[in-house]
Amino acid sequence: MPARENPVPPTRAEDSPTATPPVDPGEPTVATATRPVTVDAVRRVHVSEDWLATVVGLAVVAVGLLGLIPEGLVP
Amino acid sequence: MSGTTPDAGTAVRPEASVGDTRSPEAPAGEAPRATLEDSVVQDGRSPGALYLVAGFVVLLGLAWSARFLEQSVPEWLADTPLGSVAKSVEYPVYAIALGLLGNAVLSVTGLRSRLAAAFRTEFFIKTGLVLLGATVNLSLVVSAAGPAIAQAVLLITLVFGFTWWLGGRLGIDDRLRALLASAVSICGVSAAISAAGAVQAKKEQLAYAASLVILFALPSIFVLPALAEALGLSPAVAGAWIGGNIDTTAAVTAAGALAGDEALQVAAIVKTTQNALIGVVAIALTAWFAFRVDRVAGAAAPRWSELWTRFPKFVLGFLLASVVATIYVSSVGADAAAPDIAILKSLSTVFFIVAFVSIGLEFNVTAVREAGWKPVVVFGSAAVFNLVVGLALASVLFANLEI
Repeated sequence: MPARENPVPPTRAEDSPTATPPVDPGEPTVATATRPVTVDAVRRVHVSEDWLATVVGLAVVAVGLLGLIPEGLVP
Repeated sequence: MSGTTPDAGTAVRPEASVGDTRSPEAPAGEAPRATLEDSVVQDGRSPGALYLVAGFVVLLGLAWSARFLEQSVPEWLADTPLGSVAKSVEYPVYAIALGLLGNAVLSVTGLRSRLAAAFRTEFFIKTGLVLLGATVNLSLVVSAAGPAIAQAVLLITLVFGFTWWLGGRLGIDDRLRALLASAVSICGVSAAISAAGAVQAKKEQLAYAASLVILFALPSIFVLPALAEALGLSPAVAGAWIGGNIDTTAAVTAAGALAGDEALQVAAIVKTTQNALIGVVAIALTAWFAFRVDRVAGAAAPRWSELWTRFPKFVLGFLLASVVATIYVSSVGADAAAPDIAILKSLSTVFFIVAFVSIGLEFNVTAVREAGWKPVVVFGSAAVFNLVVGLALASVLFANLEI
């Protein structure tokens, strides 16, 4: 199992209702965190994912309708 | 509160219960909990490239195994008494089962939350739905649009209202009941995320609402198609019922796939219509919390541009794919276009399989256990209410839809 790392302490996170609370030294924390997890961060990623799925999906549709996807390629 | 977690190495500091607004300190000596294990609230973390790649390898390996089992098991069991049963088991069953199995193994080994950044259910399901759009003729979209919009508006209004009312009666925190009402009435996790931003919910409340969505969606995937068959519903009504009832889009797609291709198409149209109304509800929630709940002095009214910001863009992708494919088919002819459309349908299925595996991998009841019984009662009651009202609306609005 990988060793735990200390996260970057959140900056004034306690002021925000959506921010990660401050972390006590020595308390087990998110092993891979590099910044606080907030609802805003979740929403930003969600929106990006939405756009990405739309663009990727339409690109695949375009490639498929152009006949550029060989039949044997799709499992 | 639960004090243990299968992934103690990734636990975060305990915070207030999601169902109230108190801020209790964690009891001394209590082990930290992992309320944020769900990938929905892991966005914003950087898991490291190695974990991300490893997560994708696990995800794609399980998806490939699901596809392999779906194609091989009926052959293996062809000459046995289980042959007919094996033939009727569709790919969502294998994908979700393998996802849950992988979830258990990764949780025991303490790896699940480290790899969870790769389990992007929403991305895979939305990409799959855009591809599915290319297989849906625009005439079906047009003919289903009216009933779908009517059902979506009525269902969201009634189910949101019921959930909000019941949550209030049971004394659930306003922000949490806004999340629960949005999730159960619109489109599950996506709606909860949107509502969380609108009402400034705590991330624990978002994690909790997302967990409840998955908890209720998993059995619905199998129960609703079985009920639709038992009730003798037509594919159009079954699809509309599934699309209007199951909260999360991925689960709607899985249930629709189990109910058949035609039901899946209608379910996808109905669900994307509900998705499109997220923005309207988010705007209303923003205004309601600013002026009625928080009563912020001089609070600015929400901007109409928020409607576009919160609008799920994959809905446009679904529509555009349908328009382009319909034009393509009518210009080259149905026979000539059939191989290309078939490849897109197969690709859509591949994305769905990856998404369904991801559902299983993401499933986590930790956050649900921590919030107590009241929100579960509210969500469960709302789900039953949704089921009954949704069946009535689908039976009336989609009775004459020709597929």
